[in-house]
Amino acid sequence: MQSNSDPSLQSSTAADQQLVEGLLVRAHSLAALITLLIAVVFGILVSLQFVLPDFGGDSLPSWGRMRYAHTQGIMLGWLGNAFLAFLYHAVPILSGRAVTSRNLGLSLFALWNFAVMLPGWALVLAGVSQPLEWAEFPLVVDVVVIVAFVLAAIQFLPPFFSRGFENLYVSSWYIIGALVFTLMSYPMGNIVPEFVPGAAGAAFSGLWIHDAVGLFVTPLALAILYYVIPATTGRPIYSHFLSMLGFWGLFFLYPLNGIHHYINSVIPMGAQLTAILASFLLGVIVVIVVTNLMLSQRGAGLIPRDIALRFASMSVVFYLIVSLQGSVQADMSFNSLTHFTDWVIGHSHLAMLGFATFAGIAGIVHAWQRLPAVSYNELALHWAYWLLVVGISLMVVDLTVAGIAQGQLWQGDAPWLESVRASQAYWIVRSLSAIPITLGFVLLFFGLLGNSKEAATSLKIERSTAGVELAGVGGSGVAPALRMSYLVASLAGIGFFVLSVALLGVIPLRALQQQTASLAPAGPLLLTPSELRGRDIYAREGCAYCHTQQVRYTEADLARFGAPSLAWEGRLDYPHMLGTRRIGPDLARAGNTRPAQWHLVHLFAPRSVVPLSIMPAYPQFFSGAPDRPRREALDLVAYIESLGRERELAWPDGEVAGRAATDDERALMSFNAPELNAHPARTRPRGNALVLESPGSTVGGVDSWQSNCTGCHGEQGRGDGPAAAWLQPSPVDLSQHQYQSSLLADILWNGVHGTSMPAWRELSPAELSSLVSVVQSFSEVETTAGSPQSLPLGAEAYASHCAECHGDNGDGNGFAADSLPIPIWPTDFTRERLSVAESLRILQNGVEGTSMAPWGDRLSESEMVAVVHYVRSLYGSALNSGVADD
Amino acid sequence: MISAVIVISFLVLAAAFALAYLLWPGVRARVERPKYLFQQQLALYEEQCRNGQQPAREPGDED
Repeated sequence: MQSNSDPSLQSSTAADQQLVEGLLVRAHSLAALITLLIAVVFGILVSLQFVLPDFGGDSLPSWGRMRYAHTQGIMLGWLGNAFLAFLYHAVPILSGRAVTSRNLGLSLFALWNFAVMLPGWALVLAGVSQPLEWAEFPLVVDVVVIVAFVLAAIQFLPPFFSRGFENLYVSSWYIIGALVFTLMSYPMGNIVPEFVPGAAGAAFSGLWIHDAVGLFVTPLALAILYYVIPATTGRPIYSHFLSMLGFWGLFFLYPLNGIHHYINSVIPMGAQLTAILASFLLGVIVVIVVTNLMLSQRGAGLIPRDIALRFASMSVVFYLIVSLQGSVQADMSFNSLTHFTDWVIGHSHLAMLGFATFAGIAGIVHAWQRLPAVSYNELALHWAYWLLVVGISLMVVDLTVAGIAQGQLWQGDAPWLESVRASQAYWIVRSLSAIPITLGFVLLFFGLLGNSKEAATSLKIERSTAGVELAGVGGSGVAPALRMSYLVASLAGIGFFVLSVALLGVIPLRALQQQTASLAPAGPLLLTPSELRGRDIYAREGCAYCHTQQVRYTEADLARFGAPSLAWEGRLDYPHMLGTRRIGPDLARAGNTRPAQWHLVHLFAPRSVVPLSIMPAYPQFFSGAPDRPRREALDLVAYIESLGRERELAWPDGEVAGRAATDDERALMSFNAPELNAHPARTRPRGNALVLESPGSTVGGVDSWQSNCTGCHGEQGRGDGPAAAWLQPSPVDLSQHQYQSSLLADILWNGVHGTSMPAWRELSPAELSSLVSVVQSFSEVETTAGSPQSLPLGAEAYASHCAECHGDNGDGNGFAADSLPIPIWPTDFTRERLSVAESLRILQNGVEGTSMAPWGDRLSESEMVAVVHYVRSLYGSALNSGVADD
Repeated sequence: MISAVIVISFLVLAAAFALAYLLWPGVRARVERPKYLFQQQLALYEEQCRNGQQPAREPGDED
């Protein structure tokens, strides 16, 4: 046990006079640790639902809401409080003056924790939020955050102004920079996207995504590292020159990085290239910073003894890795592989839980050790260190590898669910990594609150003051010149920030507005009130965190989703829903891809229709069953159905004018895409199917069957899967149907329009061929012919009552087939044969959800039997019945 | 074009800073001075803490 327990420092009088506000250091440290543990719990729950999607059921807030609470909790709750705790310790020592006011400090503490964190969490969990990455707290909380940052600036900046710029230590510069630049950038990412739609809003959002890390978290973390390392080693940092070079480099270049979150999007290429270039340059700057920090630790050992230095040292390592990762993933081709994957999630965890958290812990521990009358358990802190190093390293390596695996699958033509299946093992490891991480944080908590059992051994650091004599050298003109140069650099830094907003926000906004004006169809198609309500639900439940709404300008996206998104497609999106992660597929063209009924079942019980799905279920939107949807469900489905509708209505004829109005290479890439909506499940008209090799082995098809078909058709193909009861028409009982291979190939390739049977074009020809064999293997249809005497009667009744839809030849191509009230293609009896019992049942009762009416009250029993025998006799009668038919 | 302006601006500023640092010992001393001042401040603070005299607010710092 370690403690500082000098009685003289415990009197209230002395405490009132202390330069360092110990009370506020303690208060913010404890708030930091408590909010950290809460935010981690949200993270664990979110992580577990990847592996066990129904974990928690109705007892927990939805996945998206917890995701919002997790990220804001880590950034504002944990890191915000940790940084404030450190500032109350460091600013008075760095500046030689107390912070502005203790009462102001108490107000700031109350504001930060009881007017930002608590209401912020309560509101997002209640569904009041913004669907914006790192800006999830709603606008009302954003206003309070801005007020808090103003108070923080008033609290911490004045002490620095009492001495010349030229004497400011690098940590002071980072603190000043963080407070000033965060104040400028926070409104840009949290408020502007509410008023700037679509991709232009995303450009501002992208600036904040990066500035939150680059101008708030990183500078304060580096301020801690530059403070703690010399304070614990007892030696000055290696080079103040390099540290200042890094400081200016960071503040000049970080704001220019933002758009690298939207590479290959519709945002103008000039802005993207600027961000890519700045990202590369920033990598160089980080190498300079890290070299300086590492050289400053020389002699402290690879794993320093001092626990604060140990955390700081590992933070430096994490900083190097995460920054080089950031530079590499801004590369256009690498980005097209890793973006939207778990690579990015690993990267952000390395930044926030690795680099920033370790720096935050170093700052808290260092300040805590120097508080009067506190104790701490050093052993617990050492254990916390190792558990966190192991846990975070495991998580980041796991997610990085997962991201590469996902990216490779997305680059190819593997079904989307293959990437979900391939990710499962990685997601389990990610959840397991939460064990050491959580234990580490718990030990950190108890380590700092550990009881004192011994007297203080305290701080015995031999400080090197060699070089202080240099303070007087330099001539009388050097100090003013240096002061002036720092002033110029400060103004230039602010200028670069303004430049970044102009280059990466305002100019793209104007370019996108121009593109919208020249390419958009006249008169926007407004969303209905129901669709607007659905959009709000989509936003508050965090759907955009798993589904993007941007088809990127990459070959992979073009092949998988269709024509890349044009700027005007998001012109009514306040705020934008572009998204930065794909766990499920892109939804920019979700409308008209699946029937509404399928969506309702999918929302109620996702795995009933997609067995491999990990999407959260939303039973709260229903009154107990998918066929009893509440307004929320109907609104949400209405919104999903609206996605891509306006472009679809314009495609392709309506876009002729737009195509002619542009010579932009990428806009033309979108116009010239082979199809607008390449979603492999989207149904198409019958007749144009892949020719399959015959016969496929059932061995390979069983897996496809299990993964894709059992939800509706059941394990044995009897049409009794978990979703069957909720679908109309009901899934076919395959034991009662016999299909020719060519028809099955047609159905699998094109789907059955008007039903929940999607197309399966994402499966390979070999898989489809095997699936055909599996489906055919379920058939128990008798092949015996009926009585020949009944055929004339059957033919007559058929001609009178059935041929207008099913066609004279029974091929489903009657003259009324394409004008049925429910547009589902009639059965083609030449390639599909039903059992006698099934045929009679259908003839008697009709088929709910289709235009097939019941004929039980219009035909006699003998007529129905005759019709059944007649249509069964048509099987195989087509001249051209396809390839490999049986 | 804009990318080139950014690169050149930053490199010019960095080069000017580096040249001044390398060529003029006075600048070098001034640039490095804060890290020594910081060590002094740390030493002073911890010395006072050890002696039970944590540095106090100055009168003007009072609320």
